[in-house]
Amino acid sequence: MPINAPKSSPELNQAPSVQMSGVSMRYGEGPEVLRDVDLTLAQGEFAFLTGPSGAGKSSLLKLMYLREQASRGLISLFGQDSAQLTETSRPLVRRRIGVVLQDFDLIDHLSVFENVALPLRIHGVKRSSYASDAVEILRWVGLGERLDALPPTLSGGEKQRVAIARAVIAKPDLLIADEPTGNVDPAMGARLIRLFEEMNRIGTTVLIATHDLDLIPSGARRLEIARGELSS
Amino acid sequence: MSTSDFNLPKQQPLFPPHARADRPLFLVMMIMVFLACIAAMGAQRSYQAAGDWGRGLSQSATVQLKSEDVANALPILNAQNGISQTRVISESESKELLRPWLGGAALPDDLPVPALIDLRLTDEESFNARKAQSALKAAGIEANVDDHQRWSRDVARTARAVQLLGMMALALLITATIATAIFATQAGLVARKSIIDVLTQIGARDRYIARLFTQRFGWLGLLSGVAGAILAGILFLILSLISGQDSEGLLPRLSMGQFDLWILFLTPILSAIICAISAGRTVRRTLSTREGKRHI
Ligand SMILES: Nc1ncnc2c1ncn2[C@@H]1O[C@H](COP(=O)(O)OP(=O)(O)O)[C@@H](O)[C@H]1O
Ligand SMILES: [Mg+2]
Repeated sequence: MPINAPKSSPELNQAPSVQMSGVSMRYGEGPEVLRDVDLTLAQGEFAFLTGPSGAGKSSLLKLMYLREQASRGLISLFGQDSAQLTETSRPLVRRRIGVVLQDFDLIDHLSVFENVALPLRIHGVKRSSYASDAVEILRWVGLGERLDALPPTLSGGEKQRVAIARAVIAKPDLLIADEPTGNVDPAMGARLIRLFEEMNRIGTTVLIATHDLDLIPSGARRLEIARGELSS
Repeated sequence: MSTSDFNLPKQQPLFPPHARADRPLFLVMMIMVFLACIAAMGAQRSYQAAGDWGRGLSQSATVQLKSEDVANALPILNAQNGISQTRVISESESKELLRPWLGGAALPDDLPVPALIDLRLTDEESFNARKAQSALKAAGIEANVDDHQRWSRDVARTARAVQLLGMMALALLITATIATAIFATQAGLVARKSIIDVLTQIGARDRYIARLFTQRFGWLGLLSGVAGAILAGILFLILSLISGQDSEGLLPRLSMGQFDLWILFLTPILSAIICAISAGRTVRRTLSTREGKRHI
């Protein structure tokens, strides 16, 4: 594993990774797809978000990774009110969040290697110092032989693993994954969950949305959502 | 784990190198730069030509008088200030000058053709046409001294108008270029929306994304500018070859001067700067309004 040391000492991260209170959300002028959500994810927590299709899992995650804004309620990330973020501070919060999306969001003209290395490249890390990290993480997800491949030539499962590698390479404080095992066989699914657990072991808060209940280890925290309302 | 078996490939640009969305900008910028070069070089030529004519006219004056007065008039004229040379234009020469207006028909011999004296001036300041005319009148000679002032004023006015026209054309072209660059940037933003969304999600600053556009469009502006300038240069070389064969006309000969080379050199740079700045500003403005709504 390329991940060997906690990114930051726990004492510095006393604030919960995610805190929501009374959060509602709608798309445009549409109906509310989330209603009165209260939720706290402490730093270092590992949780699963489950619920039937259309329940609002993806929407809730979008609020957390700052893709959408709540229509009501308060969301704070790492102790910062998300409504108060500025053009300068918002990218810095985003850098602390690794995201694996359902539709992968890879850049088609960049190789697998470049896609995975992207967060470090954006953060201004020297190419020579991130190259080995990118190669190593790609080997872990079983894509060590496909570094030069372009995303359109990959299978769904391979794209998903590229997206996961990209989400974890910068060692985020919060890792959000939306159905991350939807396109892989059970063995690879289990392997990916192990990767997330490994991330969690070094202090990363992990939230995984899934409708695959078999994936959830016994004893893990489970948040259930139905018709936009959360019950934990 | 060793990575020595992996050759680090060359870093790929974040935007695809050949973007279909940028092609119209390349074409339009090339045409703009071409037109700007032509306008600047053409305006400069007309201005210079007008200056040449004006100078030619203002260094000479013409005296019109009856033939029998010529002999008496010459010493009086020579006594005037600012005249370097007087030359009597012979009757046949005068008739030759009239021919274009009167056609080939033979002029009747008794037609009173006025005699003409051509004056070369040392400088237009010290020669005073009105004073010369009254000196002749004092000697009983009815004459008309014309220092072409009305003409040279007209020529100067025309020259200024041409210059103004050229500058207006340049200003319009620059405005159109900025507008084009802004349009193209907006199209470029839409075309690259998915890439920008990814960059935004992983924490790229607006400044970083804007810089990608600044570089891409600045480069595009430079390349299209160079293409347009080369086209303009080729056109001027061809025109100068054609016009060089008939150098006796009123029109100035076209040939590449230092001014033209500067125009051809600087216009692509200007085009690059306009594209780069317009793109960067457009992206910053667009991105800054996007948060809180959807991406872009
Ligand atoms: N981009 C969108 N625009 C409008 N409505 C949306 C959009 N995305 C999701 N929805 C609606 O929001 C509700 C919740 O969807 P989603 O959060 O994707 O649920 P899940 O991920 O649990 O399947 C659904 O009714 C869906 O139709
Ligand atoms: Mg979903």
